[in-house]
Amino acid sequence: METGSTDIFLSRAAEFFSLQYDFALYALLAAVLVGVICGLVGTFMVLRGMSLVGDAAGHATLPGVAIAFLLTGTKSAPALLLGALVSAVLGAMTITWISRGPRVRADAAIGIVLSTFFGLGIVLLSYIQASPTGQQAGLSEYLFGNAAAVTPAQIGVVALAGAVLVVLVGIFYRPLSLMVFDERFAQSLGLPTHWLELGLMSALAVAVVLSIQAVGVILVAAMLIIPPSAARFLSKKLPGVMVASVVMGGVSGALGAMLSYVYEGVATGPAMVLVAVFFFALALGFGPVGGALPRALRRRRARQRAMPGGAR
Amino acid sequence: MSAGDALTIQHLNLSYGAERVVEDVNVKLKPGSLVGIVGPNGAGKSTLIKAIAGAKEPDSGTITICGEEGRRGRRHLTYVPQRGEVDWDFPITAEEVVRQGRFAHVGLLRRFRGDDKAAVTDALQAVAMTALKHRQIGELSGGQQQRVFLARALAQGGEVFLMDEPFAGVDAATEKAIVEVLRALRDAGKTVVVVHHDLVTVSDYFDELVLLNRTIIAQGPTAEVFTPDNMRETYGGNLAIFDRRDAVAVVE
Repeated sequence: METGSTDIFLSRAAEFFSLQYDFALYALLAAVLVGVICGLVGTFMVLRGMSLVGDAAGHATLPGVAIAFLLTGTKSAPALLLGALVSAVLGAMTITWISRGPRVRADAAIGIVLSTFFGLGIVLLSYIQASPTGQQAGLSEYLFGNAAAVTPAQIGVVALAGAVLVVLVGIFYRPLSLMVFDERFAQSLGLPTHWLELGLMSALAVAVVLSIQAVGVILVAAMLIIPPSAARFLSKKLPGVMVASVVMGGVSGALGAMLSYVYEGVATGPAMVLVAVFFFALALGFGPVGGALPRALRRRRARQRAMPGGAR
Repeated sequence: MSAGDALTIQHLNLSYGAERVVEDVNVKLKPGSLVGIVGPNGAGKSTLIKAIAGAKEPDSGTITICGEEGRRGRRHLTYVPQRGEVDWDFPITAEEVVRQGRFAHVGLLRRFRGDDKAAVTDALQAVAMTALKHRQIGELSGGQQQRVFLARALAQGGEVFLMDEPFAGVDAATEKAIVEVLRALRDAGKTVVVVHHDLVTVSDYFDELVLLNRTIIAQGPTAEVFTPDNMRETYGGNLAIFDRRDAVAVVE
């Protein structure tokens, strides 16, 4: 990069983080909150092998958003979020329902539901876009996310819900971690694993719905999957993985919002995801738990120990 | 049913969908016994274990543990799942797994007290895993993983120990160590129920046997139950049986 463009980048970045504009502050808050919430909930999803359910739930919110807009005729946040929630829950229930028999496996069910709901959402969105009132609605923001469009009221809702999620995960940490690690044993202790599972799915739906305005329905799953996956290379204990995931999610949010501010026209969601992927690549290469470089070093040390003196 | 029984199963029926897999099972076990559940693949052993552990709802029948049914009964039960049922890449250390054994005692939020910590330390010691307690479980060998599971059960305590194939895929040293721990539990008055596959070691390991093939074929002291006739009935034709002096050796 030339010196000149680096200077411009740095001054624009400094301008964003100095938070002299309200919308920059809101964008930063929204993106960080989303990163933190997704990093937390995503840890359990990834460890339970349910990452793609988050992807399906994200895509499944779109028809809900569109229908809520068609019914109310306004872009009022509570209505759209409620529509998104109902639609995400419907999507999750449909996955469970069609994969119940032996013919349709879970991965196929997820693919079917994801594409059906998303296809329906896109059709509805095109219809809205073509109508006179729809053109200004800016519903396409829900596709890729626009953290700068998040209102203070929405940030309040996201912050509150995020706080509730953190408290609930704190309270139910032991049963949740036990169920994800060893469900059979959890049942033998008399833990209500069905309810815990339902709680986890609800947390997922809530996290997705809270995130779509900032990240967009298409990429919200990335924020649920990438930070926890990277965090697994950083700690061999669950609390460590959770903290690392939350921190990486939050930082990805902050840097993503900044990039989206500096490079006008770049949507927040893709920017956040790319930052998260950058962290993931670092973790993959250098993470102390199974990262490529530490593993290679350990192998070399083991070889040297095996043949003392002959290590040349 | 006498009040002193550790585990009583009466007229238990279990099925998957329309298919009945366990039929009219009746079992009565006393405290201080080491019992093997033996039967061919598909005999319903795992299903029976699931039902005792509360992971499968019976069609009918009762399971009584230390005089109590249902969830109250299962408070006296300590379950060691099959090694294959757990995600071994999970970010958790051996010590953390053993600490899970105390979850039933500490509940949601109470901190670990001295006695909880002592139980964890003692359990790790009993299976000779103290030196490896900070390893992530995925870094352990199959035998070491099984020892960690056993240590979790020891840390949990309880009156009835239920183990699903603890010797599957473990090394000889671990098998010996596990057997010693199981005998120590029995000598301390606990009831230890083990699903077992290796018929060669059956008469060495267990005081009592339950032979299962959909229903109970025979049960009682190993010396009385482990006969060629009973084994033939349990396993059908898929069994080569050798009478060797006074002992019976059986190969599946």
